[in-house]
Order: sequence, then C-alpha cells, then structure tokens
Amino acid sequence: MARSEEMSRTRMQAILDAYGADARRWPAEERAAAEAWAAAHGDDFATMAREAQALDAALALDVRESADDAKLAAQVSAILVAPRPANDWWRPVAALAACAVLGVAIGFAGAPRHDDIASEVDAVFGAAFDLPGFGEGAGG
Amino acid sequence: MHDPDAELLRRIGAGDARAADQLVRRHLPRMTALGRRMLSNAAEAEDVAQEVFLRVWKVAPEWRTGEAKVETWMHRVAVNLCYDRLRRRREVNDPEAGVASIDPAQSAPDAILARQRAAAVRAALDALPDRQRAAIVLCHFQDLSNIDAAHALEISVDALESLLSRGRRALKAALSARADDLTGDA
Repeated sequence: MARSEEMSRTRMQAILDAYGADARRWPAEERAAAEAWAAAHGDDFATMAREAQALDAALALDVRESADDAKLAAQVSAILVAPRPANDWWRPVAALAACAVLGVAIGFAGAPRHDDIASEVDAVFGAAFDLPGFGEGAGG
Repeated sequence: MHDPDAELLRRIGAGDARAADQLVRRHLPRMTALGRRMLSNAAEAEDVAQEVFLRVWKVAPEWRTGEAKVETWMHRVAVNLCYDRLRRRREVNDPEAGVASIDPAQSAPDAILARQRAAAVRAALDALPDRQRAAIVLCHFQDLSNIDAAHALEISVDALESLLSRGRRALKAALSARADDLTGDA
C-alpha cells in the first residue's frame, strides 16, 4: 500500500485529524513514515499538531472512576465456569430420525386393520365397564 | 495471527476456572470502561460487561482461532449492546439518559474545577452521534488499532477514519469555548 511508503502533508494532517497527535495511536503501517515526516518538518508539524494535542489533552481529563469491580469480577467468572448442558444436540435430531424410521416401518409393516382396532377397543371398553357382550370374543 | 485469548477461550470451553479468571482480569475493566464511556451509566455498563462475558461463555467451546481476535470480537459485541441500549433510550425518549451532569452538592473549590473540566469533556463525548463516539472510544480510550477498531465496528478503515475525524472535529467545536480552561493553559 502506498500509504506505508510515503507520507504527504495532506495525509499527515488527515492522520492528526483522525487519530490525534500521539504517534502510538497512528496506523501501524504508516507510523514510521509519519514519524519520519514529523521529524523532517519540525516547525510545520508542530503547528499542524497543536490542535490535535489540545484535544488529546482534553480527552485525557475524562477519567472515569472505576467502581470496585471485585464483586462484578466474581460474578463474571462464575458465568464463565457455569455448567454446560450435556452436549446432546444430537438427541432431538436422533429422536426426529427415530420417529421418521418408525413411521416408515409401521407403514411398511401395515397398520392394524380397522376391525382389529375396533375389537380391541370393544374388549377394553367391555372389560372396563364389565359390560356383557364385550370383552374377549365380543363381536366374534 | 497469534491471539493469546483464543487459548483461554478453549480452556474456558473445557470448564477451566483459572482461564476464566485470567480472561476476566484481562478484559472486564476494559469492557466496563467501554460501557461507561458509551452509556455514561455505571450500572448499565456492568450489565453490558456481564452480557459480553455470557456471550463468551456461549461461544467458547466452538471458538475458531484465526477468524477474529477475541478482544476485537468482545469489543464488537459490547459496542452493539451499547447501541441497543442507546436506541432503547431514544425510543422511550429519556432526555436525561446518558447526559453527564455536575452535582453541585459535591462542590469543593479545586475538586469542582477538575470535575467541571472532566464533565465538560464527558458531555461533549455524550453529545456525539453513537458511531462517532464508539470510534473515538475504541481508538482513543480502548487503544485498539485502527484495523481492530474497524473490525469491531464492522466498517472499513477509511470509514473509521471518517468517523474519527468528524467526531474529533465535533469535540473540538464543543470544547473550543473552554479549551484553555480544560487544558490548563489559561
């Protein structure tokens, strides 16, 4: 990339406008070229950098007090070591596949005939209520 | 690309408490700092940080080394969570949310001036559009490289530079009236 190889005044200004005057924040690939340009254009660079330095200094005033994070750290550490559910992603898939296989198998084996089902229902119904004419041999 | 955090994630995925502590020590302060600067609310910043680490817990067993740096990914998650909260604030139209204020009850001569200076900077930052503030927070306060910050914001480096330039220009304008006072050059 040409940016890393040469530095123009325009690009130097763009870097100052975006990243400020602290070279540690400048793009790594351009840092060396920018620092060389700054060294070679001392007074010009100093003038160019003045506004960026003032804003950097102002931003440095924004020190956000850090609360005691020990409790939060303990909570977050607990999150990270929380037990994981068993790695059973395959279970629902396997269950679904089993259902499908079973369905096909039943289809091929042939469902019970309607009259078979009816006689079974009759037998259960009769046994449950002790009805005459139901139960074994009912309907036969 | 060597990412020391990727190994920690692998160990966290295997339930290693020591790795968890290490990752927390390394990144929790940075996540809460990011949240505080984006949201200007300590409690919300802590919520965001916890949510980020919950996402870490979820992805840890399946983290793929080489796709993204863990730190950059965490910043991306945190920034997006902050965006969500800022959007919700606007939806409920809370004009006070996130606005830095100076508590007159805390007044004491020298301390006041320091607080006023910091509060002025904070208010100027809070007044920036979300994306400009995020760009400045990532590059200036979180010390991410331009490439990592661009990845975290899911934009190009050129777009990042544009956000940074516009953000800094807006800050300069907001602070210009008090620049001497703020920098102590008066």
